Amino acid sequence: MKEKTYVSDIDRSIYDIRNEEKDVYQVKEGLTPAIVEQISKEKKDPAWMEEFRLEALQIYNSMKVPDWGPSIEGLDIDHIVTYVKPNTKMSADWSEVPQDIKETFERLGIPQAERKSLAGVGAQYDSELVYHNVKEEVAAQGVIYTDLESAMHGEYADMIRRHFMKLVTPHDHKFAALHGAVWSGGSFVYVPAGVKVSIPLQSYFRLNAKGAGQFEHTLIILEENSSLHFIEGCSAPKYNVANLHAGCVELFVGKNAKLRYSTIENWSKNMYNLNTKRAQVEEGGTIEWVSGSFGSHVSCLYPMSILKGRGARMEFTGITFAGKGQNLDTGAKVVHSAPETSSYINTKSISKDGGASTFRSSVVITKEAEHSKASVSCQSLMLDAISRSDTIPAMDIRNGNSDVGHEAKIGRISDKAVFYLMSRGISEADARAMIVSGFAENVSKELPLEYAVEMNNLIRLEMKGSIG
Amino acid sequence: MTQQILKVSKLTAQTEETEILHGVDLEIGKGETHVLMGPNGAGKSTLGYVLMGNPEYHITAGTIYFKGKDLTSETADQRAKAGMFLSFQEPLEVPGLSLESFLRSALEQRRGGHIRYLDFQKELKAAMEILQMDASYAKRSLNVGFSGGEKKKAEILQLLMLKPDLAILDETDSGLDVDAVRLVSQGIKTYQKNQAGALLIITHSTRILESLPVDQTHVMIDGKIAVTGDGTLVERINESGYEQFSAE
Amino acid sequence: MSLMKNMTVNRLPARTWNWLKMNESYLTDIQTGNRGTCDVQLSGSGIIYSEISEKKDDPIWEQIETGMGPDMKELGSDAGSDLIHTETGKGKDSFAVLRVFSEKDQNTFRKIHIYAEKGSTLQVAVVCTSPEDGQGLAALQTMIQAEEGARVKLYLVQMLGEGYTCLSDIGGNCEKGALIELVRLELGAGKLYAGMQMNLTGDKSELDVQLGYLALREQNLDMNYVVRHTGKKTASHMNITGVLRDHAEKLFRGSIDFRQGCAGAKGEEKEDVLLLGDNTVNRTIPLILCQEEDVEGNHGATIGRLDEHMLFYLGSRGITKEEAERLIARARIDAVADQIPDQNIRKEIGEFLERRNQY
Repeated sequence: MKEKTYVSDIDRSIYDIRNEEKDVYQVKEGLTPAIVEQISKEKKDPAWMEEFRLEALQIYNSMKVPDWGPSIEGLDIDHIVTYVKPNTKMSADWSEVPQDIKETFERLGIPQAERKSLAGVGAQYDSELVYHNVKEEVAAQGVIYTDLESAMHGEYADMIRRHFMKLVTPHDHKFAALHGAVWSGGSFVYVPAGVKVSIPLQSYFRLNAKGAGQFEHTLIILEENSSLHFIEGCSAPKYNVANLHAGCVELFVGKNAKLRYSTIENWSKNMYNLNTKRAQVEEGGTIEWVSGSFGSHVSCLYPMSILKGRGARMEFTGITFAGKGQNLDTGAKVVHSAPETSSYINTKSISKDGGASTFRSSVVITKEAEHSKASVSCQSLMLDAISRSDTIPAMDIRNGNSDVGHEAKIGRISDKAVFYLMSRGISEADARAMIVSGFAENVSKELPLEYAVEMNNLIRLEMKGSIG
Repeated sequence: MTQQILKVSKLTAQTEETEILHGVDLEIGKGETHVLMGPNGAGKSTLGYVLMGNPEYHITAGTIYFKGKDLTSETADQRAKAGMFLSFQEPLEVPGLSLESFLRSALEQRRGGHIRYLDFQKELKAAMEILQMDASYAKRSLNVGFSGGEKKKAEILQLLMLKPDLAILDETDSGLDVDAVRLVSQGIKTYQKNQAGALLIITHSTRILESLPVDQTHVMIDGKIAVTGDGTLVERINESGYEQFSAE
Repeated sequence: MSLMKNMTVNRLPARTWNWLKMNESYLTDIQTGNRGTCDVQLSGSGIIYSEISEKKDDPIWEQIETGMGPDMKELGSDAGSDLIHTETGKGKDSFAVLRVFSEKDQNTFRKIHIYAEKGSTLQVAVVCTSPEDGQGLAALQTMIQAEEGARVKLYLVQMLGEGYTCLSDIGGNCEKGALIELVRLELGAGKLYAGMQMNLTGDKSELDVQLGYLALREQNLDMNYVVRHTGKKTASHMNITGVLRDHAEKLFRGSIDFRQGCAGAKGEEKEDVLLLGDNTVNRTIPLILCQEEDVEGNHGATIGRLDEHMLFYLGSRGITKEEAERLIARARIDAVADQIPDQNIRKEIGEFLERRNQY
């Protein structure tokens, strides 16, 4: 079944909380408790959530911006309210959408009906129908698949309260705190014990989701022995004038359960993508991350896995492609805190046209995580002499009986390989694109076919310099 | 009526630092089989690379005419599209790119258009059968983990499918066992028969020539063609080596 | 020559998450007294030794960046230095052995400057020892300037007692076609802060590092190795072998830094750590920073225990697990030590290891 995830229109009314004159005053003050309260009221938050948001705001105000990683200078964080509170610019006119974005839609063959939706222009795409059907199909198995906001008022309210931002807390970093204060929209998935969900589920956006998918919160709970494949994002570029994405994903993988979480991120080239994803895995459980990062101006993305139960497992397969004007800082983190746990990280990164890509990881094995195994492998490809590629992998191992292996390689496309392909009539540009696609195969082979095809198309476009 | 496929005149080429070809002259007619032999380091493989347009080498003098057209400054893919083919001595590995996707792309380039998947599969299967290559190789990454023999077979597979006008085979039989040599020869013969293709066989040993009728033999020494003869030249070399020609 | 300091040392060339506590290390109240004692033996021809008193230093040494960083330079700014020097084209069979001895309850700072002129060859061994039961601070800064085509081999062996804190820094610069080979053994000291930064500035210059370390009991090793490629076609190779047991802790930062313009450069780093015991703390952060397309870089690290098969095989020859651990740990260090051409030094290393292993 062909399913796609698209950003739908933002309901702006919630944010238009003051009249004209006070708006100006508002901008100067930044994000205030009053605004957060208003957001909470409009969403009809339960009392605990309103308190939670306000506390998160306090934490946000008390924390500093990180002193490592890519610069986020271009992000005017003191005036966050202009992002949270959409003005007329946010829900753009199709005519205002940058030409290169439109061209990309054209080249990727995105149907006309979907383009406006993707560009945050607010056309109504009938994704509602698609989701409705999927929802019913899996509901028969007892799976809850709905949007998080409404789920907070239903029978799962208590479960959500017990889990919400317990894995990624507002104290983790400044943008987690921001998220805690202004989060909006997102999916909630609950899979009961023993249920193996046969079709992949996707990020759920209701048509009138607020925040345009920028502060969405995804909460997935898998009970014992269940399994699920969840797909987030899509290869088509998502454009928005308000350029911060500070979403959050929390995954609870129960005993012997298996969760595969796939993402292709292609935010438009003005975006700051500061997403936080974390999984906690119980005994015998497995989390598989599959991640393709292509878009955004600056990205900081390090899905983290906590291997809490004996024999828990993590696999991370990723590819990052940094082109002109991009600084993509991605990687993975894993903490082994139980015996016989294992983790495998396999990433590739590509830098081109002055882009900067950084692979940043940490593998921590605590004293209790006896007889654990960890393996990290990262390969970087430089496509020219003006780009950057850095590899910063850290390992902290606190017992003497675990096995850890690590390897990293960096190099360029082999001239011989290019010549070889050219000698078969393939043009130089195509030869390079094919080699890079082959390089990205570690990720494409883990994705459902249509996504793999999209990803390869994206690579081809990136190689031809047509995007951005 | 010269159905001349290749005319090389005074071809001089070098790497960044060293001149390797010192003025090579060579002519190959349509459907002919030529053999190029010579001691190690003579420049045989280099000639193959230079003809195919390997950017590692720079042509400093001379010309390459292929089917009447001057290809001397054309890029490798242009030469391939024109109908030239080089079977590499050490075929490159390209991780993540399947043999099948690669072949299909190359074929589409050669024929200048889209090829239907089923048609392609049929052709591929037929070609693989001639070489007795297991079907599973089609989905494997190009040359990754292939044994020496399998890599050479994969080269000949490409030859069979791309159907060039001139095939330059660089040490195609080196490192192959008896059975592999037989299959590879079979593949080459099939190509010649179906295509009336011309061959330039660069080789040390002569095993592969046992079943191929040779039109001309060239001996290359120190970057130049020292002597040209017919098929009997091969036997003379087998008997007495290259020294007899080193009267430079 | 007495300085009190708060020092920041061993900075990572690129910062990462602060909670890892790997970005840099802090030292407080570091005080150094005099230069300590050093016995110098020269052999072979073409090698010149001289002592340079304070403040008469050649500005060439100022420019060389070291692994521990500027604070270490500041700590030793008033110290005089030992200058080992070979003249153009000379020094083929030369060998200098410097034995630096740290007395009990002394805080010393010793600077060694190694200068190899164009086309010369220079071998220097620096052996640091102390009384087994002594205490104190032993600071050592070794700088190398290898001119065009020069070949420098440095053997640095640290065998201090566990009561000592050791600050051992290296900085080197290679001009065109020069080669620096470093064999370094860290076998003692309760707390070690060690750094190395080699700058391959000249085209086709090369670096080869063989590092071996052994940490037992409560020893704590904090290291920062950086090789910076700026010249074209430069090559570096770092091989690190370590053994940790008991409650030993170690942090190894190893960075290969390909700067823009170093086309054709190749850098390789390999770390192998053997863990014997359940309470070790092993931290590693191997960086590759790259701003140039035409390079080849790779690093690998393997960390783990003794192979079960290996233990079984040795066991079937009557060797107990403890004995096997001792043997293999020793073998790993010996593999590095064997690269030191001086037989006496190798013997000393053997004796030191024997004494260390008895408890």
